[in-house]
Amino acid sequence: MTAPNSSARNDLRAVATPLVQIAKEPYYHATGDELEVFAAAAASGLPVMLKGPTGCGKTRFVEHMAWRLKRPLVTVACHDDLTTSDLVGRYLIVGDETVWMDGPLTAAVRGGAICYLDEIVEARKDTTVVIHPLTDSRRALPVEKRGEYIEAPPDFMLVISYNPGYQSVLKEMKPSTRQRFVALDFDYPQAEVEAGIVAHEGGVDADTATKLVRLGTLTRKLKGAGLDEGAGTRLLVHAAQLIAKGMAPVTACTAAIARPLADEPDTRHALDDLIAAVF
Amino acid sequence: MSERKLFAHELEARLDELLLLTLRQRSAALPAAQLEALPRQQQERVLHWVGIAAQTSTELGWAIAQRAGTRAAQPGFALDDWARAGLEAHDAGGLAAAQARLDEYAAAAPDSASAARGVTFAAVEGRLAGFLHALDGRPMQLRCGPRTWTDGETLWLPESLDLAADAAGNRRLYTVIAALLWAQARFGTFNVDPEPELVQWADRDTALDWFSLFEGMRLEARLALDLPGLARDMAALRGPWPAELAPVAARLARPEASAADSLACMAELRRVGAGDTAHPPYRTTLDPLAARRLRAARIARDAGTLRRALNIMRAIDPHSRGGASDSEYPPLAADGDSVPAELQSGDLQGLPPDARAAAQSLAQDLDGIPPELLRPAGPGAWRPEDRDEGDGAVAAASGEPDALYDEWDYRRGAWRRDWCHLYESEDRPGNTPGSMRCAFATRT
Repeated sequence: MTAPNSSARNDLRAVATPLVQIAKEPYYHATGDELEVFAAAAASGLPVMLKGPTGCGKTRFVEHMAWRLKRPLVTVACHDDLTTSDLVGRYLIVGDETVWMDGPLTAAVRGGAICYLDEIVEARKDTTVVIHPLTDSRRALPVEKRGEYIEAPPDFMLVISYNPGYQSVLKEMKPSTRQRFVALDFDYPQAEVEAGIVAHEGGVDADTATKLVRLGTLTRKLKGAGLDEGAGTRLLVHAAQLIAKGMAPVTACTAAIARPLADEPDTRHALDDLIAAVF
Repeated sequence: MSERKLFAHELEARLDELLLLTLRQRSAALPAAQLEALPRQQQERVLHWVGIAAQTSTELGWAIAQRAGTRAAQPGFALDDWARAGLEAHDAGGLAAAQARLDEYAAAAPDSASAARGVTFAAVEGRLAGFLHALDGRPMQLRCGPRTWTDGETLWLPESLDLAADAAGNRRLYTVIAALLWAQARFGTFNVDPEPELVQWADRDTALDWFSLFEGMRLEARLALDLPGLARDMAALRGPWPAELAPVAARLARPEASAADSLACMAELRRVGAGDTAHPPYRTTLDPLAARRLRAARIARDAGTLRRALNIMRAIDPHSRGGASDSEYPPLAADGDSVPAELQSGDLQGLPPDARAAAQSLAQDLDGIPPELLRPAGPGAWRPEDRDEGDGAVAAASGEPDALYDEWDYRRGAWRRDWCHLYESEDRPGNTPGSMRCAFATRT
């Protein structure tokens, strides 16, 4: 096998996993001791598991911590077709050559980055097993296809997240996986805190943010009664951003909150009524 | 049968299957879209008649399917009679006669303009149930009935509404009425006893109308705090208050106003002479006797549920001094240290779901959870020294009572365990009625 030519090198660069160093502080409002716990886990080389409903700030928290710890961040959105090769890497045919391409997990291990596997339970179970050696005292990643054994540098950190609320029984995380992590519970922030987040992120005034949070709180009560999940903070921020662009609040909330949440007619209408009632 | 409405694409598939529309190069998309708005029961009824008609003629089935969506949405429309009329016309005169009969029947429906803008309870029940579920407080059942009222657990709404200019307005009216009834239960309309005031009115119905109106003023202002859009709809529906009622409306709009203030307004009105009430379109009626009867039973039930849960929690708590007890529900401790700290601070999240619901219901009925429900007085019983400050100036009892009884605390609207202490004393020769009265006074 020879080194790839310049054209092939360009192709490789296009598909290589970037190690992003976050330059600007991502806004995050701590609601407990999660900053301290995460920092201590990072200093001890322990992996972290984030649990909480969708849109409550898990991803933002990881971005914030990556910035705070000054480590690159590699994020992988897990799905049920995610294979071990997708994470670890594979041989690719580039031009007339076969070259090895690191997957995001391998790239993160080599680069001493934080690797964030979002919604880990969506991935196939055999895929999640590949992270086991990285989450115990070995802190290493075996790359079987290359016969390589990569020891993780001290800065490497594995973070996974999942939402215990709406995952099916079939997608429960195996105890052999979950008992390797330091866990942090996330939930929607207190109303005042959440209103501050929505106002900051959405660019709306405090009154509008408060109404949006009130609406979000109402929709969360429909969990299990028409909705799998209520509106997360992220949806509220989306609605706020539309409102900040001049859209009428009812229209913005319908588009950014009600329609993404529900398809069933009665639930959609109930959400419409709640929006009209709050605004 | 599932209660979920069928989506348009599901209806389209069902119609296609019944009428073989694909083979006939027809699309059921439009009729399916019209049927989507109907409740599931009506959707199934339409499909039932389409199927029956298709057994005779797929064209007849198609004729029914095309018309049923708009017709069945009309309040009070007799779908079964309408479909039968079409079938009979087909038997007698063929397809053209059936189509004409289906059209005529609909046109002959009384006040078709009213029917077109009207909205039935069945058409809004699902959305209202979702709307109410999202609000705070005790879960409420929805029913339709001749009276618009609530007993605190069920909301009765009209079978249909056609007061507004269009269907959207009538749907909004349904929402406003449902929210107002919910607010009566949520914000304490039935937490005060209106009977002392009501009995002073010559006409109870008139008195209840005024009570309902004043409570409507108070609750509209209360709703405006959390649901300003809804309060705006209410204000638009009723228009400005009459000048003579505006000061009362302002007084009842104060954040601290309660149902007692509404009763105070009634008393003032009674003294100056009350006329007829103004009636907003979202007028509701009140039946305080029924609501408070249910409330009393609910308080007793919820209090029992909460106490059982607390006893069980303590029994299984290894750090509790009581520990496991011989009895099924060990008595609560005399002091409060074994009551979970989070409950003492009002956080109910540590309770099991049924006890949490009971605690929230109690808080709604009693404007908070009475301390003695969380921290009972002594080994399972009330003691004279645990007397509330508001019990008035009574002499302290001495000695052990001869018997204890559960008794109804009218202030709280709930039973209190062993609240009644019975002391027996011998009636000796020479005792006078006055001395008996004295003994009674010292023991109560």
